[in-house]
Amino acid sequence: MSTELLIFIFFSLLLVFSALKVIIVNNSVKAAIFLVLSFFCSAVLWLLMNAEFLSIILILVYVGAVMVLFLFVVMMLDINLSNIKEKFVNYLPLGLFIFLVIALLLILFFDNQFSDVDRNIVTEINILNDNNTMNLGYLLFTEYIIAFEIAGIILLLGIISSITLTQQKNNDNKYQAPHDQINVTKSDRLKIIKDEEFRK
Amino acid sequence: MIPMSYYLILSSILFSIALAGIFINRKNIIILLMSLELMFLSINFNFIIFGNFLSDLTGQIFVFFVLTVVAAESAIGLAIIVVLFRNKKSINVDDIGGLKG
Amino acid sequence: MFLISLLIIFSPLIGSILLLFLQNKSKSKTTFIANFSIAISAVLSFALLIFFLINPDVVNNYKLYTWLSTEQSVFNISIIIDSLSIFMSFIVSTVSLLVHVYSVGYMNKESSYNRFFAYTTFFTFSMLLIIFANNFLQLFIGWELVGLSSYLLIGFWTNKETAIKANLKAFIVNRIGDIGLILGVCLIFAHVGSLDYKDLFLSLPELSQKTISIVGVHVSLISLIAFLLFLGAAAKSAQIPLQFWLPDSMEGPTPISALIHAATMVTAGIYMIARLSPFFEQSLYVLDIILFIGCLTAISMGLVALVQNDIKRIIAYSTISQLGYMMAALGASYYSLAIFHLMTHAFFKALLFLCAGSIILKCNHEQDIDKISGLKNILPITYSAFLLASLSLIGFPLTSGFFSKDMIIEALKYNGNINSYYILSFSIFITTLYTLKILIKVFFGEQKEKASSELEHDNPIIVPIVLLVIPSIFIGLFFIGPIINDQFFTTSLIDTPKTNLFYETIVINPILFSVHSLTSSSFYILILGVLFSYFFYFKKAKFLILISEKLSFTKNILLSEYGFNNLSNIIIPHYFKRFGNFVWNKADKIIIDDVFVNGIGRIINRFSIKIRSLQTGFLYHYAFTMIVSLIIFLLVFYDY
Repeated sequence: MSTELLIFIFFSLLLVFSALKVIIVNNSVKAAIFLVLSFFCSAVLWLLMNAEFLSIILILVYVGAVMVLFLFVVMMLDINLSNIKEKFVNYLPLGLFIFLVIALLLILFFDNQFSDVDRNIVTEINILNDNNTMNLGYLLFTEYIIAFEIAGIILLLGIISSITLTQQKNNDNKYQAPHDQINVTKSDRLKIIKDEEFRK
Repeated sequence: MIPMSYYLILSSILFSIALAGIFINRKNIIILLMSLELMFLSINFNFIIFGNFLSDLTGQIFVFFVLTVVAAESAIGLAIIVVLFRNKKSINVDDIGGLKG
Repeated sequence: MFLISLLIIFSPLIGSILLLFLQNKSKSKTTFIANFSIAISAVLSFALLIFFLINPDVVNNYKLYTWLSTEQSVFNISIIIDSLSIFMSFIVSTVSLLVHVYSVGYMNKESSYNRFFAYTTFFTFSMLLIIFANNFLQLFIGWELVGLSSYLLIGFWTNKETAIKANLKAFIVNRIGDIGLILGVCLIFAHVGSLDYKDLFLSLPELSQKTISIVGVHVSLISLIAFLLFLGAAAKSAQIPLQFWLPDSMEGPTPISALIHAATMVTAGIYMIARLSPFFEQSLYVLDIILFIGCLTAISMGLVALVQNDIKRIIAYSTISQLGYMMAALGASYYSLAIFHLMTHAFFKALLFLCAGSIILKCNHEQDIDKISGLKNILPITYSAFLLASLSLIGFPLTSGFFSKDMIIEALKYNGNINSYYILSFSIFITTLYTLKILIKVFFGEQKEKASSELEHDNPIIVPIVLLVIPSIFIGLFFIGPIINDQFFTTSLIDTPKTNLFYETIVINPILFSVHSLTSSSFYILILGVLFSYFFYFKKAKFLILISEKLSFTKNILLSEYGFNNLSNIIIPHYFKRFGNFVWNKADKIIIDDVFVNGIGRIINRFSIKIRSLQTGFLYHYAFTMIVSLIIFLLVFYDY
């Protein structure tokens, strides 16, 4: 049994375990921590498949940013956990059933279909060298440049929409209202008062 | 060399767990989102598996974009949850039935 | 010549448009515009006619503009100027002018004086459009336009219920014919690829080879087209079985009856067949059908005229009968004779109608000849004109009617159509009877009113009557030589050799023909008819009246116009109403309304009520649905 297979078995078991934990535990914070663990395991597995850059990205971006965001939200919200715990058992059979059926079908499917895939079916696209990160960067900035730009725009969209969604109007804050400033007219600013007595 | 089907079975188990998670956790929308993350993870797994076994980098490129979109999606989803909690004082899925026909 | 013919055609149109804008402002202006525009046409037509009498062989096709051009074919608006079209335009514009002058007097007290003239000038234009058309497109446009103006003019008195019904009837019956016409034109276009008469004639040898299959029966293409065109001509020229609109159209003002329903429009069908004579000549048995229909119409409608009492209806039936003569002549391929009779008939029948109008006007719109009598001294000019026109109608030797009608009869005999010859000869007897019936009943007998010293009518009424007497009597004598002998129609009709042969063998010259006719049977039939009607209507001989009373059954048949009246007024409308109700109930209400309009809404409504319950609004229900679908998908596409 090679080292590679040992690593694979260990981390895949850990991955399945942590994934199960994510959906079973009551506490959201614990679930988030287990999710981090499963991400970590998958990062190791991805490394096994020569996806170095992506496994690093998974840990840096996902664990470092997205999961922290999750934790923030979970901790920010004052959730009544006792209420949520209720009726958990009611849906367990259904969940189990679905898990079994889907897992069975998918495993059978994948096991059957791709057991004898030739490694070099698809003609390779231009790859510079063995450096995975360099290759990805090369492809991203040549072949997939437009998709890359669009991905940037999608991220920007995510930023703007989450800010606008969560922004609360606070009347204590002092800020400019450009719309009202632009729409101002002469009569709002200047009021002419005729004072007859003053003339005399 | 680890056979391809091992990886594929792993990813399908992961997917099934995530799917079951959606059904088991109908009280907590945050765990639902986490299940979604797991699902995406299993799908990314598939991309990488096939990319690796077909010696094609396009799979990894795709994973890159999926990660981007998922990051944006979870950010927006969490924002929605924050707003939802602010309005309803609850993140129970059963309380969100306003679209009932 | 191009400009002149353009003026002939379009001056009535311009007049009509001007009249439309005038809007009843001033009667004198209306009178001037209407008469002047028609007078231009009439004078120029006359001038051109003289030119053509000298050079009958000129044929000119002028293209005005291209109306439409496609890759396959070009539709031009163009006019044909040859002896036939000029001859017809002379008839139409002259009669039209005289009738217009007459209408000035006749319609004087009418409130919509201007509208009347706008319609009549428009009618003249449409008729000229037919005459000068050198393709079927223009022919069809003109055909529809004369139908339209006829419809408008029959229903001129819009508050007279019978008139409204009559114009509707005329319009609908003409529609039947128009279907035939347009189908024929479409077939021609489909097989020739052009609507020009010239192209049709050029492709005749090719066409005569073709057959067309209708419900499995192979029919010669030319015969089919000819039959369809004849259907159109039969409706317009009031031939059996589409004749019943014409008597009812007498509900219109009398000048209209004279212009449209006696002299011009009803002859459009005759003109069309004559114009297409090379084509009809090839059409095998259709000519026999035309001959048969013509004879049948001539005799049967004459019989119907016998039992009528309305003066205008009698003349209308007489018109149908005379049109039957023309059809018979066409059917026997004597196209020139048909056109010749068309001309003489146009003049004397217009005259008869104008006289009838004069009588009606004098008798306060009384049209029943049993209630009118003894007008001889009251209306001396009308009387003499009516007498002369009647002589022409019954074909008294040396009158124009004699030449045209007797020549048709003689030509049929010469041609070997013996049955037709007998029928038409007998028809002379009937013509004589009903014509003299009017004459005797209206002008002779007990005088109900005192003869006044003042004029019968104003000049506008008298002058056209007097002027029309001239062509009614003499035009036959004048034109018989040029038209029949001098090959006036050589370039436009194809029967010249045949007619010429007939002329040289039988007619020789007008005077000899008159002398010859004294020995022919038709003259004796005529004399017999005169004597019979003298005893029957004037002397009121007992035994004849007894005979006529015995024949009440026949009389009833004739009064009901062989059942055509019932057919058109009761049976067809009844069944059409039932059919319409049936369609309305079954097709419209049940199928369209219930099944399609409401049914679709109902089905969607029911269905949406059902599927609405699927939309629970709960997230996990949707997720569950998705997953179940995924499982099904995997099971279906799973390649184990």
